[in-house]
Amino acid sequence: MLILNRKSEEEIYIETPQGRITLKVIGIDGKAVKLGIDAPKSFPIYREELYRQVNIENRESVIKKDAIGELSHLFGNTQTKK
Amino acid sequence: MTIQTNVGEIQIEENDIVFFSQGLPGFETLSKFAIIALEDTKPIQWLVSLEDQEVSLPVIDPWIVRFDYHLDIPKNIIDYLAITNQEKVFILSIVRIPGNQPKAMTVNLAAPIIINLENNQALQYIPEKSDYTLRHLVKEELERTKKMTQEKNGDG
Repeated sequence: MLILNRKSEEEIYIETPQGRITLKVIGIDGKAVKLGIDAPKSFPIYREELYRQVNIENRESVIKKDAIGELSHLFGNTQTKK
Repeated sequence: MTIQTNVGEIQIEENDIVFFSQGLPGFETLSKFAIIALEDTKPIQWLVSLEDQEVSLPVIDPWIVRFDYHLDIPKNIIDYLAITNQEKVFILSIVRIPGNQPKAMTVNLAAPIIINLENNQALQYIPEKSDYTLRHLVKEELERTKKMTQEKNGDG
């Protein structure tokens, strides 16, 4: 991992084929660092813990082999009728 | 083509393939998926990987479990998926079925899958803030939907 020291108001540029990502230290308050991010507008940006929760959720959702037999008519008769 | 999956052997046409260019969270190296409807598990459909036969996830139309579900797709996601026609957008929620307890089934309404049907580009949208959570009990949602639609229709 590249480690850089930055003070408040200082920035880092990350150049990508789709454009520049700018990370700016907006301010530091105790242990909390406020970051400003400028990225090409189509870049999704996530807080790591939020992404990690979804990651865990998705991996828990994977169906095991041969488990599908137990899943017939999950919704009973109420939802499947059209 | 025919592919092997944990939900069985499946026939897929080239047009059925949806592309997650960043992969799915948890499966970042997988980008090619297909959405399969199986008669036995309706209304649950299956998001199956074409690259890893162990990876098949149950998915459902979120409006089936929550009839008043709402989702605002922000500009960066519209640009990311190159969406030009809002009517060509398909939304699915991932379902989690805890082992041997289909009754404990939950649905992720906070982070839905968004597919642009015009180019088959997809991503799982993880909003910074949502009115929903990653785990809504499907049973409770169905009861709520049933109750609210009955009230709407003036029953009782």
